Amino acid sequence: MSAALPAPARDATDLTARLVELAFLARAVDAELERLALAGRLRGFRPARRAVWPMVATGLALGPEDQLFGTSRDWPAALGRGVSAATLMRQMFAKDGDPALGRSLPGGLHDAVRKIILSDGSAAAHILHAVGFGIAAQIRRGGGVAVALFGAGAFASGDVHAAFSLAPVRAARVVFVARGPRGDEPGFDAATEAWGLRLVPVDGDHGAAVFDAVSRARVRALAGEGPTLIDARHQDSPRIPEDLLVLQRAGRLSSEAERATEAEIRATVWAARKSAEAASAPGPDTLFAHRLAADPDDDDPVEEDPT
Amino acid sequence: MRPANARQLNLVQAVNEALAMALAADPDVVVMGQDVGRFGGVFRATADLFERFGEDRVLDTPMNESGLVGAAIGMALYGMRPVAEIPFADQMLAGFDQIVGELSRYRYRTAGQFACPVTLRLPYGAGVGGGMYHSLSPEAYLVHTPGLVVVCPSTPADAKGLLLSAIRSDDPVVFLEPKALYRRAGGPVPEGDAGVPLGRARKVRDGDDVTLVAWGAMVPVCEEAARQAAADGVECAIIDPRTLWPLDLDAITQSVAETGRCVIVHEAPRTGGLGGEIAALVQEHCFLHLEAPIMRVAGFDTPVPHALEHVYLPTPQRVLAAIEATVAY
Repeated sequence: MSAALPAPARDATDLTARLVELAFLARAVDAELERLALAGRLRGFRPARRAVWPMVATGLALGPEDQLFGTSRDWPAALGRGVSAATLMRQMFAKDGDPALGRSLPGGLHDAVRKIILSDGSAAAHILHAVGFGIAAQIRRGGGVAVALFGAGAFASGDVHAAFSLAPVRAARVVFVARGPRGDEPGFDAATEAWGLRLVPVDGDHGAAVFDAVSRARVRALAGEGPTLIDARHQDSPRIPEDLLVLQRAGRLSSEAERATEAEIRATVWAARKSAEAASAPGPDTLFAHRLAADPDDDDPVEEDPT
Repeated sequence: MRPANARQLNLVQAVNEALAMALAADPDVVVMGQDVGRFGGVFRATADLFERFGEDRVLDTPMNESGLVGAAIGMALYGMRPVAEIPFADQMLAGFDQIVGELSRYRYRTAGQFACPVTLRLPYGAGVGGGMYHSLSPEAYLVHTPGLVVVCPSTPADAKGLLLSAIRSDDPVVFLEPKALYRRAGGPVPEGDAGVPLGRARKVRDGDDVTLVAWGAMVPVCEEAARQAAADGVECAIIDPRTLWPLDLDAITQSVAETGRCVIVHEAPRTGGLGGEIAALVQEHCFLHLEAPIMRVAGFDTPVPHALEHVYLPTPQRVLAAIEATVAY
């Protein structure tokens, strides 16, 4: 997997192939870590399951100046944004190599170079950060769009309502992407109409459709035309993801090729996991680092020595 | 001594001047909050800023504290320096998750990759008849939150200088403004835009017998108590930490080492208040210098009752009684 920010795909089938490759990788990571979590060997992991499709598609659709906000469950978007499986595993196991020193739960990846912030805090707190980022981008008329992934369950949070009411007023350069199962949450239609938010429903099992919706929404946001809510939830009933069907129809994915790809990805995930497990954990000397910009840690008369 | 280039301003005028200077000096600075724009702020601290700097620099926001703080965080992540106002500190509780869970932790959580240079202005405290929902002194909650710088001026000059430093800081700063002092008699305020350094206390008064530690609206209360004590031959030093965290512990312990006696005064409830933390630090660092137990004069362990606000708040008489008790120990 490439470590650089992903380049735009040249045509629709190439894009779909890339999406499928990333989704397969995400699924393999997801399955491996969920197995470890159930065995009690990885604490705090939250699986992405079917939502890997809108997550990787969203990550892949972003431009270099865009800022991704999400929860720790949205880690597959980081793969779409160019994070390697090896770095992702270091974060999952809170080991050296995690850009944030193992301070967040699995999936809570923070990477300033790739502009990724995935929080394990309140379910909707990050959505307001995306709105603020988008307001600033609109004020500056600069590049960059904020994209906020969130689970539909967060719709009940007051922070979502604050975000949705504030973003259109300021034409914030922000794209909201709701993912997860279509459950009993209230529909977005009435709410978005009330807030003046543009609503775009897409099939959450169709990565290319999510990619297209996010791409169009970010162009709209950059033009100052306001925020968009993409409803990328998936149906409850299991089905073959549309992207696989597209590749099969195009003759780009035979059963044999699919098995070979999955085997290669399993090997990649296994190597990344073993490397992460063998790596060192951040030492106690890092405990006080980064509390404040000008931190009096060395001669702090208040603290004990953690080492 | 009054600086040569100083004018007389009251505290809210000094805040307004600092905001105007920060907006003029740095295009990254934005002022935001409920009614801070066209209306000029609940306490008029942002008066005329909207007219001078426009709607992209002075933003009216909905009455939603979580939304305000959350949006300010996002703007800071983009590279701006938001100055957000919550007009009564009590209302910060509605945005507490964003302050405690997000604003304070961004730098630490991301191992320094992302910073949140947000200044959160909170007019705080009792003394203006605000009742129990408009009188909170929340410094203990805030100091208890790693990652926040907590500032509380007691004079117009410090309000201006500390606010300028807060806005220029790369850390999130909660700026507690004692609204009871907003329109009291003014004080000399320098004309320039020099900041007052964060993390350094101010020695308000020299004295050899007792050290009083107080901040915000309790500083003038202690000054009056010290005047009355001096009439009886007891000289009190007064230390105003100004920055409540990180605390200038050296300034406090040096004074206590000289006087051997310490009285800490704050208007927040006594139990779990910042006075307890300061008392613990003083005894850890000055134990062999102490001539008497450290005393606290604080608000009572009740909400601030509208009708009995004058009873709730520490008075010069209560501070004087503590001074007399520690001297007589």
